[in-house]
Amino acid sequence: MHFGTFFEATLGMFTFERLLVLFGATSLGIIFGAMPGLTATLGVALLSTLTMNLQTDIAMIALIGVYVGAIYGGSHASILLGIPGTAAAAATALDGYSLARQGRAGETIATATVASALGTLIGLFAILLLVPVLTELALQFTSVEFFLLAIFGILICGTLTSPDMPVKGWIAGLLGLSIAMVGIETIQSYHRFTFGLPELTGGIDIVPVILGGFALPAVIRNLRRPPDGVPTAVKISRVFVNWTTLWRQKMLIGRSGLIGVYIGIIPGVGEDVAAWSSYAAAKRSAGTDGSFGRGDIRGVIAPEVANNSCIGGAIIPVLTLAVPGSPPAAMLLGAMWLHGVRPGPMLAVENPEFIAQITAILGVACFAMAAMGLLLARVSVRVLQLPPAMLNAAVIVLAVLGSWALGLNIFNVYLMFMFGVLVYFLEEMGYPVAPMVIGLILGNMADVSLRRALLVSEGSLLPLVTRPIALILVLLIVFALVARTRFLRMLTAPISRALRRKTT
Amino acid sequence: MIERESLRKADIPVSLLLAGFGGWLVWSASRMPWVVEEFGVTKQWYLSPGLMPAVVGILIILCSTRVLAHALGEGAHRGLGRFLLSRFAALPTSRLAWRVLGLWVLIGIYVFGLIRHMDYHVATAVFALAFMLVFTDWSRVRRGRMVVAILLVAILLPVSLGYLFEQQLGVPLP
Repeated sequence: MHFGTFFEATLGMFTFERLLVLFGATSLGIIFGAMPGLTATLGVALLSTLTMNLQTDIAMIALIGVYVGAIYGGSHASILLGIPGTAAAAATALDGYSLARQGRAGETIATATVASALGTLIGLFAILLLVPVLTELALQFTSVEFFLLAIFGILICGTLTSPDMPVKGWIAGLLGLSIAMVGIETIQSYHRFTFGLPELTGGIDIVPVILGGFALPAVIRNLRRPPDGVPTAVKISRVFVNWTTLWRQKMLIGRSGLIGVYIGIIPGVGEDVAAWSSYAAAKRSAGTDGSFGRGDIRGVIAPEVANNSCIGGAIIPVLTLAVPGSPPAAMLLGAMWLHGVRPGPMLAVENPEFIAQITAILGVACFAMAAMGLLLARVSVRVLQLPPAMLNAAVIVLAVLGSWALGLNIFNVYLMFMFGVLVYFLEEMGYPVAPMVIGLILGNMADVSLRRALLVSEGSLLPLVTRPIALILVLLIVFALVARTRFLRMLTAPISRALRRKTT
Repeated sequence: MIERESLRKADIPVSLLLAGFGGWLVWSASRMPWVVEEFGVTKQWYLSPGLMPAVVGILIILCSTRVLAHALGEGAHRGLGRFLLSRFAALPTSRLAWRVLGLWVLIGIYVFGLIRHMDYHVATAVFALAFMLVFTDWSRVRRGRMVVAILLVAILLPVSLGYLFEQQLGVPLP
């Protein structure tokens, strides 16, 4: 992608219609993100069906706007209520709420807003720099590499997102793969697991799975216990940006941005891991002064930069490899497919303006988020004063309509409900939903790539270890399998101890 | 996620269920064509539609066995029968269980019952009304005002969404 194309696309964003959609979607995302239990993934999923019949560029503007807004919006509830609006803002609550109770609510909100904007810009620059490089690399991929990439994506997502044992994350990913096998398979047109139902011949779509898997369990968890009371927000006296503090933390901002981009590129992991990783890194490098968790502004800057730079990081593999870097990016990928866009290595050849457009939307969305974030700071948490039953009833109705809108098929609504029950049950048992979504998205790629690879090698598995990129992916798969094991922790303990001595 | 001790005990039946599912996948894959002769061309096993289901099924069995082994290693099998019986016995008196069941039943009635058998606006209004009436925490609100608010939301929600989807987005309602 040429920088000239990017600047042209950025200038093209400044029409009344596009700015209206962007600011509106970003505001909706901020309010959505401020509501605990409602995730950025759900916001993007609901909006993807709402925007299905709109032009592709308007749909992408709306989706990226709500994505950026929702990831940032969680910080409002974290800082003003001490309740994270999204998992990505949970780390922000530790220091943000303490600062707010010290009378620095306005300054903290403004700092979080600017930090998020800077994080989004870092993610944008990462896209500009890395997409051409990854595209060149991806053009050398054959079926072997695509199969291994799909397996790595599922395994690493399972390893990093499982709240219990990593193997439960892998099982969730395998369940996603098995769901992806429903329908007429691509190579021999054989009907797999359709049980004679014509509705299943086309396979199971990502939208009802995501709406069912994210919306319904969230509603159940929000309402299964009567609320403790109406949360009381800390009052904001004056919203102002402390530029001196931000300038002094420029190294922290840079490092947090890089952590966010790096985590975003890893398939399926997402903004919450980025935020916590960045918070932990900032805390470690702060040493033993004990200020973290008691109102240290670095504890707000680090996670907010990282969770927003993760957005750009997560979009990079979407555009270059058709592999989502996070659950909201998975929904963005699904929306691109709905609009007939084919992300992957050929996107840069077939539709190079699309990449520039996505990057431009992210850039302008960053400023929309900053502007609306500061304007809505006093308003967004008022949404939490609404009775939970009302908000959650609206979420269910939207999820039903969203599933229906895809294909105008009531069967998708039934599927949404059934996946909601399944995911709720699995999550209670410690099986995460993110790897299942990644498995569903990458399932077809894994299946077809495996068989094509074996066709070319006449049944031999040697190319898995003789092709250099394939060998690297095999090593990454091995890493994903052992990353959280005691064996690896034992191996890396001396390095971790040495690093800790360096920073204290 | 449920608490750890209960989780390990629950891991035993759940992992067995998942292993069973993996076994069913392998069995289904075995019934798919593996070597096919068509127009004088032999399609090899690696092109079989059953390859991926077989691989996934075997991996699910292996991973579920790992979960089972871990649970057994932590002694979760001790007193499992008693644990399951006590949990089932406690269900009728568990407020949490009834609330969760009530939520799923209400959503299920809306999805499987109301939408297909009456006008969308009426179905959604009835669902929203019932949902909000049942799950509002009445101890913390002024009843009169809340009832009015609930009635308004129950009417406005389907009307506004119906207008948005049908008129603005061109999506016919169910």
